[in-house]
Amino acid sequence: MSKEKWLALQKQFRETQIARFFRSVRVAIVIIVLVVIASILGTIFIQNGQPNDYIQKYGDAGFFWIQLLSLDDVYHAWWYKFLLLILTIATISCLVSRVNMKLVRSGSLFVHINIITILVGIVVGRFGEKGFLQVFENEKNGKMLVEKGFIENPKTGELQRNIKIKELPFEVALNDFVITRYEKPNQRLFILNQEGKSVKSFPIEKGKLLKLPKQKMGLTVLDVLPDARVREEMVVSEEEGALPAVKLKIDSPQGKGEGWLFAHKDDFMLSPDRQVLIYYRFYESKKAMKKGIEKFESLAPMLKKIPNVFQVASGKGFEPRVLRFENGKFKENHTWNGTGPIRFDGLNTSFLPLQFLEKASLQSDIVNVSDEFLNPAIRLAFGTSESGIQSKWVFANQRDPHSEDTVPFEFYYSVDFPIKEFISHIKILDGGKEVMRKSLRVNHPAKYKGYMLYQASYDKENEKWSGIQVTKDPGYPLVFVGFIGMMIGLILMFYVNPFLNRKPEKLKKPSKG
Amino acid sequence: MQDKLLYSMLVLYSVSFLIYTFHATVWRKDFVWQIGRLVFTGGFLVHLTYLVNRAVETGRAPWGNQFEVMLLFSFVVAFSYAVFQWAYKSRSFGAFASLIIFLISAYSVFFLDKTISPLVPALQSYWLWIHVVVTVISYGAFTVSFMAAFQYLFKQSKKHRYFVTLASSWCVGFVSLLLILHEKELLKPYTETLASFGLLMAYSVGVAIVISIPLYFVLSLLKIERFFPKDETLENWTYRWVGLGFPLLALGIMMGALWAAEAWGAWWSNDSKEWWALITWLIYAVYLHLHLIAKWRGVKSAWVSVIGFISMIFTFFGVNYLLAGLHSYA
Repeated sequence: MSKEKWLALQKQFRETQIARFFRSVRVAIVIIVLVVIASILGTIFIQNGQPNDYIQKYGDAGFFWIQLLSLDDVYHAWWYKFLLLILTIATISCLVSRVNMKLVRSGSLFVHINIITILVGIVVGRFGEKGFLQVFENEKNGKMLVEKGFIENPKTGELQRNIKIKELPFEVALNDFVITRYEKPNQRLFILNQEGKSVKSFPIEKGKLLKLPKQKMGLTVLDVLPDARVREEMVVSEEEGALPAVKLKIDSPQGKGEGWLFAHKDDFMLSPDRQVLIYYRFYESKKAMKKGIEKFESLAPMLKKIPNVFQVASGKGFEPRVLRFENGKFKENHTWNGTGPIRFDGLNTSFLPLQFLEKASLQSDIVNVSDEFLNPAIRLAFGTSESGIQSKWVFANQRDPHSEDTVPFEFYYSVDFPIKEFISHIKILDGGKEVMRKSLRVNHPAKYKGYMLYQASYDKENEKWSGIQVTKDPGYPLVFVGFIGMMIGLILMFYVNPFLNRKPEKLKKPSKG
Repeated sequence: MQDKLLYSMLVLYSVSFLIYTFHATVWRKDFVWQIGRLVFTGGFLVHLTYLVNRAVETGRAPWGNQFEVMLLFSFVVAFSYAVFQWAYKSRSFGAFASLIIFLISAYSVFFLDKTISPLVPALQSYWLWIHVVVTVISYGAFTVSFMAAFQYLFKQSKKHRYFVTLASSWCVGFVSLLLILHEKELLKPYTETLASFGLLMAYSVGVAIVISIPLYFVLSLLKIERFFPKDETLENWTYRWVGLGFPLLALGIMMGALWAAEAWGAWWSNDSKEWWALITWLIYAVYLHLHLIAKWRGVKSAWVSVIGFISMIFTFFGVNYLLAGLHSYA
């Protein structure tokens, strides 16, 4: 087409009613503003939600209007599409009426042509497909699930998602699904209220003073142990409640073992078959010990029914010994020679006292055994200026709602290893033959026959299946071209032209707006 | 070490603000301004050092969570202002710019979570580097443009002066309100129904009014408008910086779309952040159409750019807290 012919045609078009209306900048502005308002509505209302969500939030009347105006799916509503159509018509009208061949204007031309390209791309994209493919390890699947609006459940009458099955022109086989994790754990301290809900959380920072809302309470993490173990140790103690104790090694047909026994009525060892009971007593004198033999009755009634009972006895003024009772009656008494184990005739069980302590108490201590985060624990100090400061160990990922703290909340120390990657090692089969192998990861989709395959979800419990999103968007190439063209236009318009087209600032007179 | 860098950065920015203010209001000697610029540059360099340090420490782009992105934003505004003062040889903006930069940085340092968390799979992409940077640079350009529009409107009449003070107060008040409610875990109920959402917005306007009245009187008493550039210059700056940010925001959105096509399986996912970025872009498109075709100038045009800026603030700060979406990585 010659330039003259084009200009004549353009002039003709400019004079038509439609062109006059649509090429006016006012109309353009009004349309853009309407698109803006409509788009805002779409971000305020939840899109494509379940009907019940809307009824709960906005009531029945609200739901009626939302449905009537398609506010639950603004971007696919007829009126939104209509707006975009008007936008397209207006853009085309402007383009046709304003096009001239000057380089100065070419930026704007590029931008607007490519806006139309993108809009066309969106329309073409509506003919695409989108579905979900679930594949188990060492299995294959070629049928994806596609969601198509809502359908009424024939039994309950409730609306539910309408899911259809679509056969793909290929199959996906999953060889292996792998999750890799970061080595460094995510650690956080949660403060739970009495209902177990988190009211506040902190990153773990040793020595930093943390403040709790509303409570005039300070909180500090004193220690972080990646691999903590509880170690119990019997120590000599002057504390009140310290008791005599013996460390005993026992060798019997039921098993071998060693452990501490306190001289206390509630402390004893009992064989699993409830045939043998061992306990320990400490006497101030030999005389008291003799009485102790008679006072066998002081044991709880249920224990008296155990056929073989042994009492380890030690004390002041006599050698340590083991007393044997049979069916509730004293039978014999073996004194310890200080070296080898004590044995009774006709019995396979031997007793070896390893250590006697006159005043002992059990102290538990928490120690770190490695640098790997296998069983992490933190020690907290907390308190107010009035109550004083308490300290406490909290193990990772364990609730302790019955703690005896004087505070009205619970500490929860969470440790997890964040996921680094989900990888589905897949094979794509076409007509039963392998045509492609791919390690599907987030940000690294596979492409086959116009379909894109994405790592989308996975079996959170057993890691046995992988969820693959399958899409086909025939409009995407247009959108892509539109993006590039639009960028070229914008760069020409705002970065290149100002330099080509520089006018001295002084000559410009601001017109009244 | 890292924390010390952050605090010294804040101190330098705040001192530069004081010196710039001193220069603008008390003693207009050029060397005072030069000292202000020196201190400001110091703050800027410390800021840069922190970002580089953070990149080395994390082994990734130092904008993988909200704290880092906010700090990048204030860095971009600082950089834009540095370019600005170099390009226009202007002495009038310093106090204003350094205050805004200080406020954004202080907000990130004191209120956001500084812990280094590893990237979730969706963020492990080269797009993270460019999509975020380009978008944030466009936000920085819009912020500079807003500063010019603010000064322009401030000079026009009492009515415009008050309303532009109110608009700025709203930006500060809205972000602070979100932050306080979020911190106290009270924000969620406001996002649940339309009425409560409206109530929250009404509160933010209330807060803005409370801030704006004393601010208006203080600024008027100081007669800061004496030190603002000429009207035409301010109008021109507003337009130029919108013109700089507009293609960058388009690029940022497009890169986001291309990234989404790789990571989420669709180039547009109706995510609220996507939509709000587009809405902001469209508002600036309206501004540009009015400026370039309808030849709008003066207060009307300046107000359109202010609306664009408010929309940008909502996109950048509001969306993460108020609207559900895929961009909630922080």
